[in-house]
Amino acid sequence: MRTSGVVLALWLTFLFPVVVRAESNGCIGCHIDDTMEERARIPAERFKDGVHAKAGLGCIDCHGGRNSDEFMQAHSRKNGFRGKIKSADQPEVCGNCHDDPSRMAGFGAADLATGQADRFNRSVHGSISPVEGFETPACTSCHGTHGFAAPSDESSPVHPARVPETCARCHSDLTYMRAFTSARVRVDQLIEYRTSIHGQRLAKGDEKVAVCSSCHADHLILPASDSRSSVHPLNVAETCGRCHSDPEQMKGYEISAPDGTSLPLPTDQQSRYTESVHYAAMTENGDLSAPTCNDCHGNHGATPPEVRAVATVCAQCHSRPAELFTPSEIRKDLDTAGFPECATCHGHHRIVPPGDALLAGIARGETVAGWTPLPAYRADAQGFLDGILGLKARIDAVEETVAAAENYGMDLTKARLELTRARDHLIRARVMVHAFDPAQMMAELQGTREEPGGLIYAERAQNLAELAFGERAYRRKGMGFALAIIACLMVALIMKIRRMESRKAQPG
Amino acid sequence: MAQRLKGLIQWLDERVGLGDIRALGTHKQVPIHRHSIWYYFGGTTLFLFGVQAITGILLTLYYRPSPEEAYESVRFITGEVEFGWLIRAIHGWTANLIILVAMIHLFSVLFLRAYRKPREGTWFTGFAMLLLFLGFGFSGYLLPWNELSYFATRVGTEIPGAVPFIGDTIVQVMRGGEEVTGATLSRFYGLHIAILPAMFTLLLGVHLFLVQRHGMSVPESVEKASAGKPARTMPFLPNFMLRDMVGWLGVLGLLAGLAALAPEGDGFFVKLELGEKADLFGATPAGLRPEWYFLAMFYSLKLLPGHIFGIDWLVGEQVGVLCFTLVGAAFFFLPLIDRGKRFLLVRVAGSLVLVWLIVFTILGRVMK
Repeated sequence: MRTSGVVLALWLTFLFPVVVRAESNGCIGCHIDDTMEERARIPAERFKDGVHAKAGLGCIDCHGGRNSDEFMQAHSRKNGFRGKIKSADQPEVCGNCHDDPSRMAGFGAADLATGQADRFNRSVHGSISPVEGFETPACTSCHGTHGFAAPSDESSPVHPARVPETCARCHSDLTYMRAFTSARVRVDQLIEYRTSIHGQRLAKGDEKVAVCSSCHADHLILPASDSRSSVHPLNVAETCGRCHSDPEQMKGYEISAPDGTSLPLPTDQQSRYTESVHYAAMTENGDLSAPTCNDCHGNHGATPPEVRAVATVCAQCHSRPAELFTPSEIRKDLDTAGFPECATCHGHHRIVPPGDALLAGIARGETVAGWTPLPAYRADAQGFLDGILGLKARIDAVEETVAAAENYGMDLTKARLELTRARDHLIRARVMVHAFDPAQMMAELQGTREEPGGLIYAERAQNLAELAFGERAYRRKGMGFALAIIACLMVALIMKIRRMESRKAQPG
Repeated sequence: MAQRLKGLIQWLDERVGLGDIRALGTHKQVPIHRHSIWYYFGGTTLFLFGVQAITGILLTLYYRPSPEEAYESVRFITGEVEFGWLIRAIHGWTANLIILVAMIHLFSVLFLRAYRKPREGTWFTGFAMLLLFLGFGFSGYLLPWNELSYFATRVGTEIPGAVPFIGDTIVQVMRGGEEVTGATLSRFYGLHIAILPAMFTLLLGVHLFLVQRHGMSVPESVEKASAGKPARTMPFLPNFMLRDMVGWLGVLGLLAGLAALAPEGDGFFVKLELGEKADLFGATPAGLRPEWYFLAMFYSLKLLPGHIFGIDWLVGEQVGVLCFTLVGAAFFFLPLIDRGKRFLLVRVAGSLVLVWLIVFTILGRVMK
């Protein structure tokens, strides 16, 4: 008897109101009437098929007012009726339930994530200042109104297949976007996305591919300049890696090999990238302009570069090497052999710091991509290596001489300038390797009639350092001479004083 | 030749009265006793000032006092101008030696109580000239407009900011604005080559007149030992003057050696290397220290806590600056303070200050 009483009390407290609201939604009763004008009728029609109605929610849960047949009672402001919910109020209204796990459990949706409204409020969308004449983004901007469907439902605007179009409703609208941000805002993301591998596969019905929310997050969307954002340069690799490093997720996807066969898409790109010089530049040197995934693959139009386009991609930053490499014979040979241009020697994803060792590898006939250079290229590589190492050794030797002269207090500014020029040529010589042209390499190392090369500048610095040593010897001689004169004068003065005073001391 | 020289001297004598000057010099007597060696430091300081004046004038022929050109012009002097390196090195070394010699002169006068009546004025002018030497050193240090001098001046000009009420105004007047800029360089240059030399010349004139007027002071111990007997003396001209010249030649030789062997300073106490040009937006270099003659004060201020005994209004830096001011004032007014039998106290206090100067200068240089 007592148990039955407790059950009745619980039923009356929690479930009865839901049942009553659902079964006697007075709002629907009137609004669904055919005599009702369209703008008042359609929301009611949509609502009754939505997830909220199925969960037992009524119109008053969002719009306020009373569940009454009497118009004034139902729409009374005193009863909390608010009519259309303003954009600014939506996160609070929706968050009343969606940020409250216990309430969501009460609707039988305990497995649903909560906190969306809170995350939205902290997002770039939630912090937009209102602009007159334009609706600021809010919950209904993406999820629609009244006939809310679960994201897994194909009719939902946030179903993966529909996410790009949903986002593009605002992001492809230049007038709308300009109202909230700068005139230079991009509105071509959807167009680019459709050209990407992701977009193409989505169009074919592959719902596993990345859509806008996969990279930008769903509710807590932050600008790329925010270090907490999933698309901040420091986080891009991890964001892409969420799918691309997951063998399960990538199962079934393939990539074409140089020989035309298909290979399973690798999942080690992120781990290899974190060992690269690019990643080190970004994380250790704090250079946020250093490349991450999207800088080479594109972001919205993400597509793997074709083998013949690798140099073009690298040239975005490495313009001088690309300028030398593009017209070179070695590039033609690599393209013919189907090797990925820059990546043949430098690798991809795990791009290690370039150095003389790389050149030594080519001289031995070894490359990262497994290409075996022709003997002529190997001989050239050996010649380049010898020349570069020779210049470096000469610069180091001159540097020692200059430093030694400076230690003696000599001014070696000019020699330092010449050494800097020599070092510039050493750097240029290392870049010149990309042309694979011995004549151009010689010009950098030894110079031409018009311009001296690195070795000449090193020689000039050496001469200046030797002159400084000569000057030092001259100064010391001068000092010795001056000291001798001074000493003679001192002795003469002392003798004069003695003679003068001894004469006075003599009696008479 | 000798006949011609005699003729020239006679010609000058008839017009400017060389004989009178000579009579003044020969009339002036310098006492001979076991402390006579200290008399030479005054003349040596004067000789070094002469060296500074000559080398300074030569440097102004090429130096350009603007942030855009100052560093480059000094680089030009040391690298391109014939013997420019020598002139700059001698000017730099002498700037340091002159303060050392002036300090020795000051402490010798203090310990021999040579400031006693009627030589109070000689002490006042002498002490003021030492302060001017410090001013010469501080203002001249900025002129090359290199990294070290720029940041050292920035730190140095911040210190007067600790003076209550007027500290900020003093800093602004010194800098010619909120920060050390081209305006600071202009006024430091004006101070270094015009204002300070003018003040120094005036004080030097009074100082030399008073030395001439009162003659050399004989230490009390020597006076007592002679017990009323006439002290042994030598004429200033030519005996003392010739001895002085031997010392000057020795100092000149020392300068020649230092300039030739270490034109960029010893790298420890004296740093004359030009280094990099000042970058107004660069970070303050680590381990920045002032010139050696400010090290004792610098290190003392560094050791003081932010608030003495944790008391809010006892700001460490302000207390430090106040102490230096009081010690400086006590030194300046020493002839007025040292009355009757207070000399023992003066000797002890003077010794403590000397020990503090030596120990803290070394610590300021070697401690991190």
